[in-house]
Parts: sequence; structure tokens; C-alpha cells
Amino acid sequence: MKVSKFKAILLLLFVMSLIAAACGGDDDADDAAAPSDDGGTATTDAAPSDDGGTATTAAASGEAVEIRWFVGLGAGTDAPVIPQQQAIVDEFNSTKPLGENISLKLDVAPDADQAATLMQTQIVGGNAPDIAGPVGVKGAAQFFGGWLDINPYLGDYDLSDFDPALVDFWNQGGVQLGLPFAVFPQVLWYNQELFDEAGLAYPPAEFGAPYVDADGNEKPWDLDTLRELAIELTVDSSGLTPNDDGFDPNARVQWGFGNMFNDFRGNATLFGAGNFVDADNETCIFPDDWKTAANWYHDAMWVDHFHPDATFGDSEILGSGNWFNSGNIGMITIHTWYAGWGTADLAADFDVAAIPSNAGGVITAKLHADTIGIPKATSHPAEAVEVLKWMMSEEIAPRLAAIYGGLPARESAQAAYVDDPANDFGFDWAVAVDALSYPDNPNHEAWWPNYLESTDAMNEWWTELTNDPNADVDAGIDALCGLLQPVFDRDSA
Amino acid sequence: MTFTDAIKESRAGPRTRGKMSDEEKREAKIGYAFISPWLIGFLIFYALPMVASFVFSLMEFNLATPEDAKFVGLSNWARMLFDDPNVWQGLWVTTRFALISLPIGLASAFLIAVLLNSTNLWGRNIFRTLFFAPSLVPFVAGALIWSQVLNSQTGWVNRLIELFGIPAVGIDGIRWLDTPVLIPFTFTFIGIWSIGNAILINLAGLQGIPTALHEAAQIDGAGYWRRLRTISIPMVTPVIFYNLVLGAVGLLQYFLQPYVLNGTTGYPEGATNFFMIYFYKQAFAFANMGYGAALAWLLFFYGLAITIILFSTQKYWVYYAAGD
Repeated sequence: MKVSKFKAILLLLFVMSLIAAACGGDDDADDAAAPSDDGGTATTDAAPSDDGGTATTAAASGEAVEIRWFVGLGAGTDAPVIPQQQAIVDEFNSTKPLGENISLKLDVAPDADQAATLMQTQIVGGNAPDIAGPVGVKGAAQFFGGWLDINPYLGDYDLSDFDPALVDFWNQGGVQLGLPFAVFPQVLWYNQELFDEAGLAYPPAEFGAPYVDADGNEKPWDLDTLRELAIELTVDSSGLTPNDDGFDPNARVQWGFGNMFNDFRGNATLFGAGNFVDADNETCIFPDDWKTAANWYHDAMWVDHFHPDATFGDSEILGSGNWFNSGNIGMITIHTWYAGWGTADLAADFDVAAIPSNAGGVITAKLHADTIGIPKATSHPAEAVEVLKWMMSEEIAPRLAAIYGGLPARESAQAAYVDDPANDFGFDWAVAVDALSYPDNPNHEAWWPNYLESTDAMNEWWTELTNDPNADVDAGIDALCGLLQPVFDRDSA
Repeated sequence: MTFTDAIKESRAGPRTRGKMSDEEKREAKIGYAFISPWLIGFLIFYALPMVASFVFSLMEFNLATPEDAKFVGLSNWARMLFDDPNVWQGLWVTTRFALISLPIGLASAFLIAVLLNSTNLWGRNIFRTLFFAPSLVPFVAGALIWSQVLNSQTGWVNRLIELFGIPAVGIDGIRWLDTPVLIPFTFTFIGIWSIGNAILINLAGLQGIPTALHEAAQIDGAGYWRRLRTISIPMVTPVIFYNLVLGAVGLLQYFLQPYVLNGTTGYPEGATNFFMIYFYKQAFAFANMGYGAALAWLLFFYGLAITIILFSTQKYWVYYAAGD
């Protein structure tokens, strides 16, 4: 009797799992969001036509369609920007640029930390948003394979106002996730008060220009010069620098340089662009520039003592993580999204300067670029793309970029943005615009196999390495691909 | 007949089920009506999700691409049990922490309760409030405060230790959150800060001991320690057992402190790679719901086994007065 009950339970579970598997979807089933082979009219109501317009859409047939714009995967959940986003939505709904049948609705996630889970739940529940963003590469990676390829829908949409590299940046794995609308170049930020106290000349504002010291001597503005300045700017409680006898690294009260809010790929890109995956998109490699970077950062923390380690970096003396805002660090590198909020408590004057070159004279100012994407599971892909085109238009995209504190990706709108007094955050925007000429390619957030797990494995590795003063960095470098390759392979499998 | 006797009698012989009278039927209906909110809640929020999660554990199921979900049989289970060292590391880290933290937490809660129950303690109510107050601080806020307090460079714990001539501050000092062997003790230390609930339950247990027992023992010449050992401790063993079971189950699900203090990196050297951290990463950070569901079931079975073992030991050391 017991055996038969056991069998009955097993049978029940098996049947349930089969039912669930059957309900889980069919690989061969038509994807409502996929364009037909010929790019023309198809049986689904979502397919694009040859000219990129909508062929047979619900809206065109007279049905009212509400496009839901989900915000939370990146910026956009802070209270001050919600009304500004709502104003864009209201404008769409009052002007009806796509006809009477299409309306737009703003849906801001109540908690940015839970936004990805919320959207995943909506997708699984059959209630996927139609548009989602702004979103950066990392945010988009959480939905890898779940974004609509908008390429077939773009048709003759004019892309001449965008940097082609930026458009291509959002083509991942052959899928055009979206178009760039806001860019955030990286620049070097420096505390003028600390430079003045140390009697040091400011770093150059012009990319490629040399550093001219207080005595008028010129040096190349590279990472060696940055290191020298950073050591001079590092001070312990006795006023000694690492160059002085008796300097106590445990009693540091001021640091010279820090690369803020980055994982290793972000840090290493200061030494040149790269990625841990080879051109075959399967094999782990460790770029030579990044080997130099790993050693440089470890020495900066534990030998030269000018870069905060995690223990000091998380402490109140360095703003509990917002180092520059504490006023106790001379220089940082960070993107322009830091403007305003990042320096809210900084009493000292500051400005931005050019990114220094690596030993080979190559300058790399890494770039963040936000997009707005369309989940593949949307019920109205064609209408969503039309709304997206409207949002990326010359008129709307720069306004959206301004809401999130980004330079417009549309090159024609950048000058007006820089000149707008509303965007005056106390530094020279011209430096940031120049930085756009030195983007990292491949991008430091570029796709690699098993994106999220690979990033997690790399973070574990870098955390261990940078927190150990006695770490053998070269051995750590040799070990990384041993950690990453199985994670890559799991993606291929 | 006492209530206990009634229960014993009802369990004594085989039950015979006759036809229910109208009154009994009416009572049964009312009974079902009263428990129906719980039953419905249990079915919707526990039973069905558990069945669903078991089904998910047999699938490759990513929340971002549900249309690609497919049945993979036992491959998630096979990977979990035979091919993923992080699983066993997570179980070991969690178990080791429980073995260290649980005895210290239980003993601390009991001893503080004994202290707070003492008639010789001046300002007992003030101390009771003070010991309970940290329990009201949100866990995340508490963890963030402790991260500053235990900072090896700037935290006041190390600076306090240095006052006693022990080198504690700095790279070569006591790195509470950076040294693998210290991690279980650091987290235990943080946990003790908020054992107010356990103290309160112990205190209630101690106050429930009939004073006649203590008075009789005192008349017979038993001193304070003798009475504590032979009366107080045995009488509160059900309370200790209760705290033990809840504590063990709670520690298996230990998540918030390591998540806030060390993120999901497992730093240092995997010492904070608790099982729940790994489960969270797989299920919610990587959106691998199928594999995450398998991990959840493993933790469920592990917790169930530990609970069964604990319950099997109670007959040797837990004293239920009602049984006499």
C-alpha cells in the first residue's frame, strides 16, 4: 500500500512537471515580436513592413493601444525626475503624434533595487511592459535574450545624428536593443583646494596636452604623472606624504587618487580598452594593459598608499563610499552622471580635467550610454517601436537626456545642452564633450558570455585581490581565466 | 478530568467514527469556518508555491525569457549535488556559523534573562528596555552601523582595544570583516546585539517557574547556583528548546548581515558565501529560477533534517512539567 502511494505521488509530480513544461512555451512557436524573413507583412499583428513602418498593427486597425513605459532599471526613480518624465508622457498623450489610438503610460518602479525583479515578474505574468528604460548595459544584461531587436523596425529612420559607434554599442549579440539617447563620458575630477595646499599645478583640461607643473616644467599627462601627483596629495595625520620618512599609512587622512564606483573592467579601462573574452566570444583572455592595471591598482593601495582600499573607502573619512564628496581625496575618475548629486556636500572648489594616457600614449575615457529598450514579450512591438522613435526624436531625446543628467547622444543637441545654465554644475563641460572622442572600444561593460555570472566571478576575484595587502597579483592574474572559463562554457552549453 | 488527561484518553484507544449528530456537524462547520482563512492562506501562499517551485526545479527557467523555459528533468539537481562546489561551500559556511553562533546566542540570551530576572538588580525595567531596544533597530541600519564600528582602520572597537595596549588598528591589526576565521565570530557578535526577543522569551519562562519550588529548595538549604542548576534551567528547557529550533532554522536562512556587509562576493575567501547568499544570486541576481528552486528545496530538506534531529533529542533533555 505504501509503495502504491509513493508511486502515486511520483506520478502526480511527473504529470505536473510535464504540464508546466508544456505551458512553458514552445521553441518552435511563432514569436509575436519576431519579424518575418522578408521583413514585410506577416501573420502576426506586430511585424514590421519593408519601410520600417507598421504593416498590420492593432492601432492601425482602430484598436486603442496603451504603451506602458517602465522606469526603474537605471535612472528615473528619484522623486524629482518623476514629474519631468510624466510631463513627456502628458505631452505625448495631448499631442497624439502617432494618432488617436496610441497612448503612453508612465510606470515607475516604487523601489529601484527591486525594479528588475518586478519587471521579470511582469514578463512571466504575461504583463510585460512595452518600453523599458533608461537602462545601461548592466541593467539590460539582466534581460539578455529578452529584448526586441528593433533593427527590422527602423527602416529608413535617420541615424546620421548619432555616433555610429554608439548605435553599434547597443547592438549586442546581433540584437539592436535600442538607440543611445544619453551619454556620460568619464573625466578626471580634482579638488582644487587640495592641489593648492600641496602647491601643485592643476591637471590639464585639454585632452592630449602635457601637464605643466608649478615651476613651468612640462611632463606627459599620463598615468605615471598622475601617480606622482597622487602620492604628493596623500597625507597622514602628521602631515607626511608617502615620500616622507615616518609616513603612517594607517593614519592617512587624505588620499591622492581613486577610481570610483567601478568593477575591475571599469578600473582597468583607464589603461586601455579590452575585454576578458577573445574574438571567438568563447575563450577567456587577459589583456596585457589590464595586467598592468591590476598591478598598478594593487600597488596604489598597498605600496604607494594613494588609492583608498575597501576598508578606508567604506569609512566615514571617505564619505562612506562617496570619496570625492568627503573632500579628502585629490583626484577621482568618474562619469558625468556624478555631476550635482555627487558633490552636494563638497565645500571645496573643484573642476574636471582630461583623462591621462597610458604608457603607450593612448587615452581612453570610458563611456556610459543609456538607452530605452523594448521587451520582446510586449504585446504591441510595432506600436512600441513607433513610440520609441518619437522618444528618440530630435525634439524629445535631448529633453530626456537632460532629465537624467546625460549629454544628449544626438550630436546636434550637445552644444545647446552644455550652454544651458540649468546644466552648470561648476565644471567645464567642454572637457566632457572632448572626452567623447576617446571612448573605450570594446566598452568596459561590453557583452561577455554569461554576463551576470561572469561579472560576479570577476568581482569576487578582484575583491579578494585588492583586500589582501600581500596578494601575489601576477598569480591572481594567472588564476582569473581558470575561474571565468567554466562560467563562459556554461553559457555556451 | 484535567485537560491533559482528556488528551491522553482521546489518544489511548482506536477511534471509532460514528455518524455525526447535527450538533457535531454544526460545530465542525464552524470549526472549519474559523480555520479556513489560515487554510486558504496556507494553500495559496505556501502549498501551491512549494509545488510550483518543485516543478521549477525540474526546468531551465529564466525570468527574463520565460518563453524559453523547458523541462530538463533532474539536471538542476544533478548540477547542485555533484557539480557545483559553491553549494557545499554554502552549506558548510552556514552550518559552521550556526554551530558557533547558536550556542553563544542561546547562552547569552539565557544568562541575560537570568540577570534581568534577579530581584537584586537595581533598575530592572530600565535594563530590560535597554537590552530589548536594539531589536527594534532595522537589520539593515544595524548592519551598516556595525560596519563602521568594526572598521579595522577607523572603527571605535579597534581603537578601544588599542587603549589596552593591544595593536588592533590598521592593515596588520584586527580585521573583523576581512579575516575568514573571524567572520563567524564577528557576525555572532553583531547578532547578539539584537537578541532582545530571545531574552524576552527566556525571561517569561523564568518568571513562569512557581516560586514555591525555589522556596522549598531554599528551605532545604539549596544555594543560588544549586537552584539555578536544578530548578531554573530544567524548568525553562522547553523555552530553550523553542529558541534552539527557531534559531537553527533562522540561521540556515542567514542572509541580511552578510549581504549588507560583504555584498554577494563571499569575501573574505568565501567565508561569507552563506547558502542563502548563493541562492539569492542564482535565483534573483542571475534570474536562474529553475536552479534557484532546486537550491531552495535542498535548503528545505536540510532544515527539515536538522529539525527532526533536534526534536528527536528533546526527550533526553527537555522537561515538560505537564508530563508528570
